[in-house]
Amino acid sequence: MPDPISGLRQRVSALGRVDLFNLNIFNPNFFRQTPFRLTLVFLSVYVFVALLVFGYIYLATSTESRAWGNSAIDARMKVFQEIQTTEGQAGVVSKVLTDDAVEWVFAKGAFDGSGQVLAQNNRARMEGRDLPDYVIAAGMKMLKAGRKEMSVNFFSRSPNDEKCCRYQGRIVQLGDDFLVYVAMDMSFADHNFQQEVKAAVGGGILVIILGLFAGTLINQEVSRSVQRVTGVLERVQEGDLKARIPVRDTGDEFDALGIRINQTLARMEKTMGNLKYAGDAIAHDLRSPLSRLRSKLEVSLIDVDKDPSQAREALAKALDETDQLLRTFQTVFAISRLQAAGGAPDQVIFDATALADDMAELYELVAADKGLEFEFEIERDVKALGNRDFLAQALANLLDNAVKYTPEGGITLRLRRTSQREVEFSITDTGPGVPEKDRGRIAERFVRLENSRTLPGVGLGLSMVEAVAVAHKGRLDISEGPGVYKNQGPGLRTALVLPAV
Amino acid sequence: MKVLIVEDDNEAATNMQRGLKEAGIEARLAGDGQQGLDAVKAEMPDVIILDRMMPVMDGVTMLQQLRSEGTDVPVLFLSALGELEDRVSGLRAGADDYLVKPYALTELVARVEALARRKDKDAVDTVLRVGDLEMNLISRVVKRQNKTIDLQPREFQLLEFLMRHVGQSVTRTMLLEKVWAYHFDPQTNVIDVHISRLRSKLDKDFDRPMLHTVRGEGYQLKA
Repeated sequence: MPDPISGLRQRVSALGRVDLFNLNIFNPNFFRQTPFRLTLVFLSVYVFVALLVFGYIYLATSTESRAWGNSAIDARMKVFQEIQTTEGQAGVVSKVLTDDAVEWVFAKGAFDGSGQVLAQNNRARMEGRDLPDYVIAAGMKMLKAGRKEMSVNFFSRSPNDEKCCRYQGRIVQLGDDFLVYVAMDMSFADHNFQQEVKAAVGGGILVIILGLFAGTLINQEVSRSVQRVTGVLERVQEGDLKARIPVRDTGDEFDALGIRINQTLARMEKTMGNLKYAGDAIAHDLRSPLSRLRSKLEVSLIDVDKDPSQAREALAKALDETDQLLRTFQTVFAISRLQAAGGAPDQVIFDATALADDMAELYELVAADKGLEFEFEIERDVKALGNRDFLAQALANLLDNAVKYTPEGGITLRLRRTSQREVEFSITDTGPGVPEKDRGRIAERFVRLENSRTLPGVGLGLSMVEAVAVAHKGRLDISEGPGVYKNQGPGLRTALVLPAV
Repeated sequence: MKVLIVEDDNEAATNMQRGLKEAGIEARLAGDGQQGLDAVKAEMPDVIILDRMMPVMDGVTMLQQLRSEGTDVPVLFLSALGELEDRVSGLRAGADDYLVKPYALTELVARVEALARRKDKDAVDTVLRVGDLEMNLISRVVKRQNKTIDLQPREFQLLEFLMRHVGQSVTRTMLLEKVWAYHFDPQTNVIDVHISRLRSKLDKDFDRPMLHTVRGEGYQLKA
């Protein structure tokens, strides 16, 4: 049963309208997608930093405005103190009462030790009853504590203006029973700060909205790219090894990833193909030798029935045949493994000269035993990259062939570096050679040419050589030999070429 | 000589036991690596034939354990067809020789004998003697009945190997592996022609031949 969202989505799609539900934002995974999460992280960091900055600005401006208020209050207090010393209490009272318009941000007043207000300026009056009450209560407290001076900070609760005002002020005892206060309305400074905060919050909200929008766009872009990859991988998982990721040639990371995955898929597809081919080939290749073995055993059984003394010979023959079959199997298996692996195992830099020397030494006597000349021209100090045992097997196969198919004349083994610095082992014989039309197919499995069928062998030697060559990123070259020799020719030249080190 | 066969395939193990018995070698059987270790503790064999793939404990693990306990008994490692990597891992784990399944029983016997012999023959000899044949490993001079035989370097190595395994059959594959140090399958009579040249130098001028061909097996040097 599909979930309701996807059911709805299908219905909407069926209507042929814009498929809103395909937009990423409706995908429940949307908020978990990496680009969007990165956007959120960015925005959180942004908000955090903004809070830090505003905290700092607030601290700095409030300290500054407090200091400014203090010095302004100081100046006024000083005036009162001077008047107190020169004119006495009455002078101070009249000064408070005659405050000019310039002093409108200050609330000032004077009262005695019993809390009786002696004078107030306009501002203090205007702000309602709370202002003197609060200050006078503070003044009484101050007197009780035996102090001469005290800071008072308070909000006024004016009935006219709810938000007015924030006062910073001070009460000072000027005479024995005489106190004055000066308080400055700081709300204009607060107002400035509030304006700044409002602007910043507005800007911040804009940044967050734009950020989320950009994050969503980036997210869609990235998830489209990711979907190109996951879509292909899903198809591969379902068995479609031919699926490839479309590459847009933009050279970005997703292209690089796509190219890499495509390469891996190509390699996988090839290996799978090889393995399948190898399996089929082994089954196919072994069918005929197995049926041959079976019929030989049947014939042996008939022979032994007729003459039991032949039993030993029949069994020995069957054993030989089995060995031959095993050898065939081993070779087919080795070829398949080489092809499937795509490279020979355990390749190291080895001494190619020494390998050629060894092969020359081994096969010189084999050739001599058949009455053939054996020559070698081996370049000194040639190094190559490869698996020595596999290459020895390949060279042995080429040399075996040369000896087997050369009735008269000789064989030459050469090792040289070509002009492209490739390492070339070549074997030339003076046998009849191979017609040009057949050269292309003699390296195929189990291919034996007409005139070689009388000689022992199953037709895997050159296949093995070619597999070894390819497994070393090299090649097997087959070409004409030196020419006519004693009414036969033109001979054959086989070369195993390894890439330059 | 006492051999321990560690192999989970009972039929294969019994066939091996049978083949070794024909060659006069007594063999015990163990079904996996753990049983193998127990059997080694109960009685130290002269040679262990060790299969690679086994349940409970595989051949490589058992071999590593044996070697880490300081046991230097010669080990012949068996592995399945075509697994070149197995040879490397087997030898790395401390095997002394290695044989690919399927193998001929004669090959198995020859290698077991060679391994058992190696233990006491690995001593640092400077002169090898077999009957009237004498090989000086320092001066690299070979004499038979005090007549010097002129050998090429490879012939010398070939003869040295045969002398170290006197009285045993050595197979062609063994010779290619041990004397030439190659692991491949020569299709033709590569080893035979080298043996016959050595034989012509060794036996031609003397009334009694020393280097014999063992039909279906290989070669044998007799005193």
